[in-house]
Amino acid sequence: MRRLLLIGFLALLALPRPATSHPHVWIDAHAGLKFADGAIRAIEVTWQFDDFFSSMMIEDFDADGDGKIEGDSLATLREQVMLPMEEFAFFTHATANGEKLPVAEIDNFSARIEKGLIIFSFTALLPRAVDPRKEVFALGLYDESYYVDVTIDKWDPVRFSTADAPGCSIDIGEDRSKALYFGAFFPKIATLRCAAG
Amino acid sequence: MRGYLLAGLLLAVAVLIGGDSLAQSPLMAAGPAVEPGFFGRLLAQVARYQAELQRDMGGLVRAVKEGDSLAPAFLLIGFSFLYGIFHAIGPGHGKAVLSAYLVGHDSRLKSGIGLAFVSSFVQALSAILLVVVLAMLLGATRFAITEQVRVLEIVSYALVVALGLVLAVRAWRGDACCDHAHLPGHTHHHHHHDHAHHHPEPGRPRGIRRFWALVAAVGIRPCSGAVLVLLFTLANGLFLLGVASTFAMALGTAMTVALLGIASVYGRRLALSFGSGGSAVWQDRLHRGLGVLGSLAIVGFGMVFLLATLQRSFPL
Repeated sequence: MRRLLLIGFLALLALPRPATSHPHVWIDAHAGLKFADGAIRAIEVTWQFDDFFSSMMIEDFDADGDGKIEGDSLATLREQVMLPMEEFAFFTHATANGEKLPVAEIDNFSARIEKGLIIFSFTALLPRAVDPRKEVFALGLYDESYYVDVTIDKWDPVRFSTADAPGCSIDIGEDRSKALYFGAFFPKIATLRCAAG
Repeated sequence: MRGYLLAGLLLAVAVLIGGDSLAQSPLMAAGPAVEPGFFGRLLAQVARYQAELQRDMGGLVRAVKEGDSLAPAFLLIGFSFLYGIFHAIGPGHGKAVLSAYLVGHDSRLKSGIGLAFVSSFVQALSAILLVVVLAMLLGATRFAITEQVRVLEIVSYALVVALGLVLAVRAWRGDACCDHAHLPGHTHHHHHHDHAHHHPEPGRPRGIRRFWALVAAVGIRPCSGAVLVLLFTLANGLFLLGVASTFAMALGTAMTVALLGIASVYGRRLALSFGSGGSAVWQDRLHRGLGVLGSLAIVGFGMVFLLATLQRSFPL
């Protein structure tokens, strides 16, 4: 019995620990689906950062303290903070019928400050258009490494105009195949369900 | 009775070190449609508490800045203490390394608790120094500061790997160092290898150099939660409050890590007790085996963390 305890104990000690770290940045996010000719071409994403991270970015990028980030500051912000996020697909994970649609490019990046919190807005470009009536479109906003905790808006996380996609609605579920943070969380996925035809 | 205590402590170790590994093991994460295991749910809850605390702390700092009373300041310090406790349950803070060291080399309770407290304190100091020097004295950008945190992490893990290697060699050579008085490991065992077998001078605390080497290796990495709070309070003209909060966090962290330290110390005692009544050769082998295994675990942990940090490009 003691032998078992000992072996178990040493085994636990010897297991290499996984590489993720716990989150240090929190984002409240929501998205809008951008249609063209009845197909989804891009996703308009909004990120609202937490107090601490916002404060750091404001210190660095709103030097004149006028509450606005524009021009050179915005360009530097985009380069130093936003573009490196490409490695994480800008936390924007889209699929069509389960097939991954990697987001490699973003457009229309802007940043504003509201009540001391920094808000990023950008358009994530999909590699190809998706007709939600022909393929099942699903979207998840999350950091796979869970360094950033992305929480989607409780009430209206993924928005679209009914003129673009009549008869469609959003279904929020969890992606059980992707366990984040040592199996503690499953990312929330919004699936666009459209009535046939 | 002691058996239950031991089992309880081992469970604490399991939660604090092995939990995340177990949660990821093939046994638990088998394919789609898997409910998070016990450890996964525990970590999720801890992460949620942390998030809550961090949001509340931000609000409290603002309250101190805008208000007249000091009440939010005290609340902030209380919350920081709690944050430290939870923060340390998740990965990081040298828990794995300290635990491996204790199991491999040191079965004294005061070492277990001492290492936890001193290294947590040093991590707090590291965070404070970093912000004072870079932000206040050099006017560095926040971005540069977070890059520096990453540099210090890399240095820390490299030191841990180096220390682990040194300890492994010493253990292999049969260095008898730091055990509780009446354990078998303490008896002077004779063996046939030709080497310098160091006995600490009587009256001098044993293993003090290792203690500080370990503290330095683990402590040089600043507590990132503390860096965030310090920068935030600095931006709001309340740096001293940030310092107080940082020490409160360190205290909380120390308590969580000390719990693991105590469990590790008992783990080593349990392991060494297998040698009682055995031959001197068996005791020697047990002693050395534990030392080498523990030291290699230190090297292993250090390398995993080092590689993970090198791969990660996100600031902080």
